[in-house]
Amino acid sequence: MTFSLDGRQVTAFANDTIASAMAANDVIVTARSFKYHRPRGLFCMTGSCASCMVRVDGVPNVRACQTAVREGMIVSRQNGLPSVDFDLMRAVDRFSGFFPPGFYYKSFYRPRFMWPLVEPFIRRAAGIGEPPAEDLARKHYDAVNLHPDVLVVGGGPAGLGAALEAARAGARTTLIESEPALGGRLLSTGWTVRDTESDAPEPGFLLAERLAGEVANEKIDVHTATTVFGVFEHNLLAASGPSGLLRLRPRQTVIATGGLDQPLTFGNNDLPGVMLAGAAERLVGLYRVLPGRVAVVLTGSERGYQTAGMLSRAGARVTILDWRIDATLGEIAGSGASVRQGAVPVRAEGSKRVEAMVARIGGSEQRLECDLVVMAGQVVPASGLLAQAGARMQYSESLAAFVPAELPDGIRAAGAVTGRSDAGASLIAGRIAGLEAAASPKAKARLAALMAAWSAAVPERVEQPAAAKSGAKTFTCLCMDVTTKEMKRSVEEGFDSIELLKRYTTLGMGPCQGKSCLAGCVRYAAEITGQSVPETGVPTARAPWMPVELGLLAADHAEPRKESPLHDCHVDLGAEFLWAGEWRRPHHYRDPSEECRAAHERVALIDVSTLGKLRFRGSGAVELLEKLYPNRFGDLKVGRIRYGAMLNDQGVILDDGTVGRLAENEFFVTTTTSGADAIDQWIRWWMADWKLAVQVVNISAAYAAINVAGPRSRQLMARLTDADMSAEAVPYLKLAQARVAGVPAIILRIGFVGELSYEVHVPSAYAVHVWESMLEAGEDLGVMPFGLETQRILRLEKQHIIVGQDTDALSTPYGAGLEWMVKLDKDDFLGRAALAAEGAHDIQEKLVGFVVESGGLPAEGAALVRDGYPIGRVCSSRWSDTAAAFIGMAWVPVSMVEEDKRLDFRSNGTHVIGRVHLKPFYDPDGKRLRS
Amino acid sequence: MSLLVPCPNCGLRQFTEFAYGGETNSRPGPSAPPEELADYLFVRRNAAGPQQEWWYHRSGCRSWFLANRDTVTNRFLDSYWPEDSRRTR
Repeated sequence: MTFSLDGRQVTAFANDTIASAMAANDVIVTARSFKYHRPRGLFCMTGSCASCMVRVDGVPNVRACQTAVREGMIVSRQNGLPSVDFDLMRAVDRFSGFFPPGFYYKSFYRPRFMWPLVEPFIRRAAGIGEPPAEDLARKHYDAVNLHPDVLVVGGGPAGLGAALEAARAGARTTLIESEPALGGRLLSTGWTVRDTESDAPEPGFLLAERLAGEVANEKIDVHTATTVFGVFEHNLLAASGPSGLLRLRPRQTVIATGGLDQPLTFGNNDLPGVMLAGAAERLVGLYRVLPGRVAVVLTGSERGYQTAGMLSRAGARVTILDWRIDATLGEIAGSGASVRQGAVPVRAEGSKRVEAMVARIGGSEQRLECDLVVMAGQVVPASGLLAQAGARMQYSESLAAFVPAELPDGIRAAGAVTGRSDAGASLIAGRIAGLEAAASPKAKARLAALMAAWSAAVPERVEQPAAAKSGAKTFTCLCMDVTTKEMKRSVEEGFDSIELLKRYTTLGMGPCQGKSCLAGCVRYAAEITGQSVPETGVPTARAPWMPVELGLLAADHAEPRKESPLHDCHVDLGAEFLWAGEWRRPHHYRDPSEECRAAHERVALIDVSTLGKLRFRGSGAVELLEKLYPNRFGDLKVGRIRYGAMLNDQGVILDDGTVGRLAENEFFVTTTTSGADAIDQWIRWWMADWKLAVQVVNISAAYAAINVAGPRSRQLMARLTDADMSAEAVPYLKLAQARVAGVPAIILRIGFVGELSYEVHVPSAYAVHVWESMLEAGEDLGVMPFGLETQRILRLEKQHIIVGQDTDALSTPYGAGLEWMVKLDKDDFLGRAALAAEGAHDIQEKLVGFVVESGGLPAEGAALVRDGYPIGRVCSSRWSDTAAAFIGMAWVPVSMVEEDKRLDFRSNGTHVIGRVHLKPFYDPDGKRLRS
Repeated sequence: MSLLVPCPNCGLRQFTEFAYGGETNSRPGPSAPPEELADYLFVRRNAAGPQQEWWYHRSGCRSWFLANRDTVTNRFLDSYWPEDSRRTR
């Protein structure tokens, strides 16, 4: 298999990752670092650092060690200027004194003129990778919701054990592993591990294979190459993988995320060729790549000897530098390596690759030539998810690490994440956790047997090497290029708590989120502040535990889009649409002034199906209306309509609409388009409290509505119905029930747009038929559809308000010119107490119409000013052909409510002069409306 | 923000399906003094601990119900219909 790496063809095997293929092809420098542009090489091989992030097929920051090679993929290394192998920005490393922690607050800040000069340079130099290709930014992400009984996070020994036992106990089990294959560290374990289930110890990779086979035979939902990156409230976990975003809501969760190799602090500990023990084990054990021929293994535990053995068997010449003085030397023979005891690592040497390791042995520095340095130091629990879930972490002196001490409900932990390092112990701990999570009563005996096999052997005590002065950069955080020197300096500047230190130096804030550095940083911080490690503590754990693509977080986010039953008709008529909340509504079909003329002179139709429609029915219907509205409804006659506004208990207008009485105990109520859902919710809320004998049914979607407006609308209606549509039979504010174009309809004689008009409500299924019949029957009358823009002009000419446009969260009926509807003599209604207390006399500002005298169209929202101070605002404004002027409505101080009063507006920097116009601009007496 | 809300009708559902109505209070009668009205409109107890509150299952059964939630732990203790005798306010 071949792929392209920086334009060069590279050969790889089918099971290779990009990282292992790079190592096999002797590509040692995998990236340049974030700040200093230092060369970096493979470091962890477990996706726990940022050193191998590459760009793959246009996607930046892909972890090479976690990504399988695909034929023909295009890979480029990042952050090199011009290339990773030869980076001019490397000079930054030499002048690093200019870039102390927080340098963006300090350097180049004074003199002020320097900053614009250096900023582009810094921006170009800093950061990791380049943004993704444009077309990738539009990628669609899927989301999957899973509700297993037991979720196991991590497919290492503990996770495999947990998943197997949970599934065998009958639990619906999901297993998530971040690597492409199950097995975790067992896969690269060259030494033997003992499973309690079998008698003989077996090599780790064979055990992994056997357990993965057993998992495949059970009904376990396995997701590999998938990473859980967050634990949220009420046991919600989020994972990222090939299926997109997984939202998991398990009954029980077993966290078996294993342990994390930690680097050692010595000079140039970031040189390519210096790597963690796990990385060397994986390269040798998993990919059969020998990362170096002459290796130095730095260790203070058994682990180093096991790693050394693997390297030595693979053909490397190995020297173990053990910082312990009194180590038991039992394993040395098997490792085939030479051992130096009491060796304190000082620094690595080399330019683009490690060439030697310098250690202080017995008081003098010794230099060992090598091309590989393996750090077999501490393994700490990978407890980020547990900490996010709210586990209490406690410092263990013997493990020199924070381990989970108390777990939240529904969360269990097993294996190395609890601080146990031995793979065999992890396996059985996992089995126990899985069985407990499944909570099957039948498995009691099995659990007892497992518990008996559980050895409580105390794990090996961890010792850290002594610190040595190296004279070279010593990194505590590789991702963000933070050194020991910078941490020391920051503490001296006063940033001495771990949370402050983190924010100031940005340690642990890089792509690895502290996985490969936090333990060391905390220990070093403790050392320089003179506190103990538990006193120093760890920074708060937050999601994401692994970097995720931003698009994934928005995966499958549904944007509701509503269309009226007449939508296709509007499309056919060539309408331009606009978003009105969730609705797509026709803005106009042709020039709005032409549409206005049709309404004023002939007949015009607008689709108002988006209105909220409710049917109130029952003996308590009147009482409910009396409580919901400030208006009176008890005296509304059957077949009559009243306009009303609903208020909240502060007396503020929530919505407006019409109430028509269909029968003694039955009403047809309309709400605004935007308020339809909120008002439904509002009414249900009060009904839950008031317990009245009334049914409220939301029929908004069941009914479509068409407003037929204009002087010829009566003629048009008469052609479509047998019912008498005369002014006598159906006067203004009358409700009629009749067939229109053969369809049973509710007809409301109301006129938002100010003309003689009929609002015809019909079942949605017949909407298209009725609409088309109206257009057809009215052809010779000059009928024309009109859109929202025309409706807004027409209603503004009438000074009819739109709730939400002309009113806000402080508008009461007194200010909005609706005082006529407030019946304070009613016992009670929502808002009554507030309106009674406030009274009409307390009103500070009022809504009035205005006409522009000079200065053009004031923008909606423009300020009304006096002596340079805002004292009011424009809420609606349009050009009106009728008034032959720009007109609008504005909130003005009560003192200015006076015909022809001059209004001074500031609109986008221009001065607009208007005059108050108290009466409607069109048909001020309502003759046409009532005709 | 991944709360699960117990709807008495539909069971445990994701909180995004719901509208929150706030802590319960009682609406003063028509003749209540202005202080009582102001308290009702603008003053909240803002309890740290169990609190009886309104929830509306907007994207579900469209019912209002009451729930007791511990505002410190964000755990629901129970939920029930408004006519239930457990209602305190």
